[in-house]
Amino acid sequence: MRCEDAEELLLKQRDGGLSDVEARLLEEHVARCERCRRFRDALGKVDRFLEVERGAPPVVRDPFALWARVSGDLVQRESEHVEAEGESQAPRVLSAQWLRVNAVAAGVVAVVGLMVAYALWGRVTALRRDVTALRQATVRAPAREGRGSPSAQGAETREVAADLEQSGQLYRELADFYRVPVLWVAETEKGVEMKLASEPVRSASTGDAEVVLAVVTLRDTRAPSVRTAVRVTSRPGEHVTATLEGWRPAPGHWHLECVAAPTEQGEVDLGLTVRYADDAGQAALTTQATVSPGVFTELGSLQAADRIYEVEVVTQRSKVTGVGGRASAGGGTL
Amino acid sequence: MGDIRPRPVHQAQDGEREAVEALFRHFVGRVFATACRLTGNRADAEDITQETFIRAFRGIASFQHRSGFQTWLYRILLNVAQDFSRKRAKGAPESPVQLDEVESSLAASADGGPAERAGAEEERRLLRRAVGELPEQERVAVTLVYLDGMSCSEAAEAMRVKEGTVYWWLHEARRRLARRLRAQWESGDGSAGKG
Repeated sequence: MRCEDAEELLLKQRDGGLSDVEARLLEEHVARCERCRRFRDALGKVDRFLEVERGAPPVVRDPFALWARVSGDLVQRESEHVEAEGESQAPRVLSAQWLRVNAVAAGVVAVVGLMVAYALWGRVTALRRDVTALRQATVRAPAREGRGSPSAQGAETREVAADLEQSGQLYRELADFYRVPVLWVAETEKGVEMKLASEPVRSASTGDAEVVLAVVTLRDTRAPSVRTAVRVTSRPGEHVTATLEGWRPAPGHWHLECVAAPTEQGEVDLGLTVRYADDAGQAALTTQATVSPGVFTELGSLQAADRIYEVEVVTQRSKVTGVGGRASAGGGTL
Repeated sequence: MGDIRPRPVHQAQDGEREAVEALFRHFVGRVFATACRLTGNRADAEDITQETFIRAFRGIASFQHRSGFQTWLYRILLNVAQDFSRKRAKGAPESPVQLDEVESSLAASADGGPAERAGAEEERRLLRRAVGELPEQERVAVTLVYLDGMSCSEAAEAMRVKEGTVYWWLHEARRRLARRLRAQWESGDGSAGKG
């Protein structure tokens, strides 16, 4: 038997594919051929190696972040696609009508993506209902307000005397018209309040910017359905503040200040202050944390109006391209 | 490897967001593991996994249920990995295997004393490198069948070749790997290689 033939038989041997005669001839050859003995030993080590490797698969470290990236990219591409081609015939998965809201609203959509990720991993909370309702509202409701211009001096609060469903169209129109981020949306005694940023998130040179989308949630621990979500779109180091007035059921003065910056290690450095004040007193939570994008992180809690509110944040790093892309809306000339 | 029932796929094709999530959750682990093994690099594997799911979800309406969803998804994965590999070939050379947790788990599983463990670890590094240097089709076949646990039939569907071709590639891959290890022993002191 030649060595090449012996190799072939050794390779076949694992599957039990040798006849009695082949097995005997192989045994005789290997007994007197050191090189083929080495091949047999090496083949055994190879097969053992493959078994061990199979038993130790690489594990994805942060599926939350990966899902956030997948859903975020899908949403962004859909938005770009819709904007470029109008009503395309291309099949879509994440293509509810609300995606028509263009590149700026894609940021809002990204928040929904994060919410989806939240639910995906079994931590479904009532926060999601808000986002779903908001999404539906952006599609269904007729316009109720005319278009005004946000203040050039700073973010502007829009109080909408309507329920969430009815306010949706306005929300969409504002995002569409101004191409600016909506900083927060909250249920209030009056209905829904929204706060718009005064400028689009955009770098002067390229129209691109790496931003952090941070969704800060305040949740009443006794009534989890009572919550608000404050969305922050921040360039690195940029402070963003939000003020909530009359938010049920602690209708005092809520003030949130957030600064978020992406780190070189792929995380987000976050500084957050939440203050509450009413006639009975005041409370505050100030915290700093480095959080992983896509992962919901509890930052603490504070007591307000005899209730305890948990503060939680989830972030997403995102490349925003051409926000404020219409010539008339760029460069903070709103 | 378990495929998924058709229902979530149909629901995802109808645009149901929850079904899309369910598909992602079901397959993300194995897609990432395969991508990691194909590239030997965790960061690249994340990019490939991300792109695979994006392409899959964007094109899910075109999935016609002629094969299992997993097979269809893996075809996309292999295309993405191939594109990635081509881009890599034009730029920086592919980095060697960096699966640190695999390294550590293998080291922990080695028998014998420190010297034997060191030798065994050296052999594993050699074999891991050798797998990475196999001809592409053989490397993919080894990854799908021997490492990810697909059947040859499933791997053949994913690779769009006949089942016999996959068997041949696996056969050739084992030969190359064994010869490589033998050559290493023969170039060394000859003390290794005891079964």
